Amino acid sequence: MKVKLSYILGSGIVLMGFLALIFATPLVLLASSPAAITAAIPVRTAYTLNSCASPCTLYATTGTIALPGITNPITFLGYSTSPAAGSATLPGPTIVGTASSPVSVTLVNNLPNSALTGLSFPTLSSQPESTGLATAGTKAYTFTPKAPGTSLYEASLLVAGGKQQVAMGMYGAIVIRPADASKSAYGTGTSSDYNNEAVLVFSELDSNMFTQTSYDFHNYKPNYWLVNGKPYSATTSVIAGSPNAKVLLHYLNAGSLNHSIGSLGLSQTSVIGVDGKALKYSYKMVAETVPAGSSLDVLGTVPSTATIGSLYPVYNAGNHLDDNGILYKSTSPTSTIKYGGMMTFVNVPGTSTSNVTITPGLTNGSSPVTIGATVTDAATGTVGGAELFIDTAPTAASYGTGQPLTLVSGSSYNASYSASALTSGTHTVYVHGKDALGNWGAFASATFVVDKNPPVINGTVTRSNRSCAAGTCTANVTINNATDPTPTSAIVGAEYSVGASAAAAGSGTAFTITKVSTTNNYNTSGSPVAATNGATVWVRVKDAAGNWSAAKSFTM
Amino acid sequence: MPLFRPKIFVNGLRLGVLLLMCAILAGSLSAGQDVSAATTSPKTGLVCTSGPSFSLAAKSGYISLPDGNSSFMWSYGLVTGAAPAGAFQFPGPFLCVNQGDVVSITLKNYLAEDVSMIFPGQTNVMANGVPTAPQFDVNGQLTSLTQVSAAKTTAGPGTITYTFVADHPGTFIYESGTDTEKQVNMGLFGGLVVRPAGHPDYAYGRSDSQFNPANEYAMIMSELDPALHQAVERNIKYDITQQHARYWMLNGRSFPDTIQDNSAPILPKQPYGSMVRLQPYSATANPNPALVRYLNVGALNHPFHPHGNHGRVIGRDGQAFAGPNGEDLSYEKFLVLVGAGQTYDVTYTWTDLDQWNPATNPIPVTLPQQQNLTYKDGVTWYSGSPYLGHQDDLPTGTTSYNQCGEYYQVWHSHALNEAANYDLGFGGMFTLERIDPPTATQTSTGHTCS
Repeated sequence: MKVKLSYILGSGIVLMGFLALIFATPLVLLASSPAAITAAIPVRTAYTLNSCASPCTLYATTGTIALPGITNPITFLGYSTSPAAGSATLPGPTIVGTASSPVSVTLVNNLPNSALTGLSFPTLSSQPESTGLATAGTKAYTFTPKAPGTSLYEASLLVAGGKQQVAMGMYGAIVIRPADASKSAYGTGTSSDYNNEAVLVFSELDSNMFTQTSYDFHNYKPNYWLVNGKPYSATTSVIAGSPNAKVLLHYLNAGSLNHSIGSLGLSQTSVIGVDGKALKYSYKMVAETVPAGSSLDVLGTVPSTATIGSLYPVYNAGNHLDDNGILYKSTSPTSTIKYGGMMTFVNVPGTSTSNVTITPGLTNGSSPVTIGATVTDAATGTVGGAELFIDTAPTAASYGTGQPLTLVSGSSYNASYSASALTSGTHTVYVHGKDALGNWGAFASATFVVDKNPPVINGTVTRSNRSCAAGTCTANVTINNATDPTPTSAIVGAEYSVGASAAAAGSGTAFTITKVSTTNNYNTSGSPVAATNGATVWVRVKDAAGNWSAAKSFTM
Repeated sequence: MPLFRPKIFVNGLRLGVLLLMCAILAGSLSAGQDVSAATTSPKTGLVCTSGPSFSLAAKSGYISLPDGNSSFMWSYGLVTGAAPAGAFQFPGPFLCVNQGDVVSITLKNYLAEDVSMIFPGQTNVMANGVPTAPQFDVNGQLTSLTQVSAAKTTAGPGTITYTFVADHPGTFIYESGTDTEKQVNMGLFGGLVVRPAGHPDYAYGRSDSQFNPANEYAMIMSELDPALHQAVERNIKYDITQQHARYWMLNGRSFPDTIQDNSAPILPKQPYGSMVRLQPYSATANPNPALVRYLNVGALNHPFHPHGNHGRVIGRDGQAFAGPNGEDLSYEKFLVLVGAGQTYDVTYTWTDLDQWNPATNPIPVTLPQQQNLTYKDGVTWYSGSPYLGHQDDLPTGTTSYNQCGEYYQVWHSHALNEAANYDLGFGGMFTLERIDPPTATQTSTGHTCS
């Protein structure tokens, strides 16, 4: 059992220090790392599928990972979509294929120290590489998966050192999509539809394996418990969800121990598939054991009561929630409790929308209003869009069908909205945004008034203080009992025209009026109206929404 | 420390289970006595603390272990009128509620650091009226999976009230969500039983989950490394990668303490036994099975079985095994592997297949003469008769704990390293099944079981 690691890693240990120089900061983790450590605020970076769609080329090479409590990043062996040394990710990229279609994976051996390696796909293909590719060797593996599902790929155990290569990080997930291209684990009608998904590869790691030049597997004693190659305190893998959303979690165990994985607060958490096959009868559970080398497809539902920012832990139910054995508060009751180990969160991102404005807030619908809103996304930091609905906040099924708002600057969005089709009355605008992953957030709303009903001059229009010179007269006007029917808005202007019939509304000469206290009568308050002596003067009034009344006349 | 040798057990099996019991139950054991008469708890079976409102206190205390050791523990004790500051017990009480109840649990904290409770399997849990959520400090470090009951100060204990609607029946774990790995290891855990609405004798809301309420049991499995407990008591550092469980517990006891009655006076802080008692199946007198609720709060999987009997696994984690149209997907299984953080509900029926009877259906072999039998230390639980409900003479000087001609079988984790107390067999995560004769047989033979 005693293995000279130098055969596998050789100068990789020396290389490690060198890599540490290349990666000047230990916070630089994996090339595809969804998140890095930050000093403040829980890391809430959105999970992204580190995928390599078939045909996929994987380079077997080295990578580094920073572990809390270990000064230098440790160097592991893994897979990368890049040929660059040090670019491997832990776990390797997720190979994505489609059921009943050939999957093609090309392996390039860029391992250091002339190590041989090969690939195996234990649940999918019975032909693991047995000889091993020499340095720079290339081999294409092709197979046609019969059914959708999730399984592991790993370094071929038949090649010398293969077992150690797996223990040192040479593994990853394969997700086979259903042939019907539906957004489901197993196809339309299989009750496996989901809104968001994540591949969660669980493993444990004995850091001594990586830092000692020789390691005896009899001494295997894991001290780090990883989700997608990271302990909780190093990074937080976060999975997007929204209220009522279904989250598909592909659990895979690439470690050597069995891990029971539990969740807290999610509802309807069900195992819908095992080892790359759909279950005929799914079953609900709180925690389920993922045996070493096994995989489960788990479907959870974000509770309807979730709010933006809700976090639902997914964690090792055997409570491996430490890094390197350190229990915080074990030395001093006043020290900060810290968590580590095998844990991540299902996160409810969704965007936060506020400050909905409608300009103008009162319109007769003849010209568009401008609807603005502030849309932010705390979880992912990136807003993927915003939309508005009028009068009814729709159900989730209609999300994405509203009128889009466009980004103005920063977090300000607006849209020009035509209210011409709306009836008179108060209307509500609902605005919400979606994050970069397409999760729609909660609505914010504001109201505005559409007033298409013109004011009415119920009484007469009379003149006073007439003054004539050379046949042309000026006079003040009194408009008696002018009102505005529901929705009531103020009478704010007037115009007049002279002639046998009234000029078209809005084309007359404007004059200012003032409401007479306690009455509905209005008097000229600025310049008087002017007309030929004896001419017919037509007067209209206008409400705040811009509607003109019918004209009434008086004789100058 | 001498290594536990599974060989002892294997050899014992060859001698037959009854003789095995003679061998392993000798010694300091004083079980079988009616030691719980002073309490109101049933002698065996699930001891429910009924809700839906509960008042608990996180406290420290000491438990005793079968080898004479004791261990410093943290646990959830019950606050009562007689014990307003909470009475330490281990594990926490089994909280029993009905489906639909609004469960309210107030947790006072008498420990020097924050503690909390999480309820895996429940949704929409509230803490002091607001949704529970993971807690972070100003540096973004996770401090707790849920809101905490603050450490005790000079002003008094911290307090918090958790509420949730018990919306589906089943067996659930509650445990600390703060510094979880340490605090759960220290003993902050317990069980929650939600009974289906209107059917206290069903495990789930379906008639095929009916069980005999007189034979309802719960076994909460945990592991104990004394080094962790000493480190916490002495406030020194503990490296949990060095964890080595020395005690393997059912309901907070290790064998043979597990077969002591509930509330046995010799275990004043460990009120819950796990002896399983049942009577043979009878379509008329005893039609419904026993129900055993397994809960695993430890870090390891524990493979459980009684000898001689399959169980019917009817559900897990608070979910009946049922298809989308209510199909019965329960299954018979001999060994139930209970993973960390999981619960299993299993029904057991003991069927007297052969109906041996000394008068009407004698065992067709020559029985060993009693003078040819010896019992280790002169002590046995054997009745002297192989016939259920019958007792017979034993060799002179032999003491029998047998009460009414009952049978015993072992019931245990078959990870046999766990059948040990501080690495020394026999002990650990191990209990007994006691098959009492049918009531009619007791009447006819005059050997009444109590």
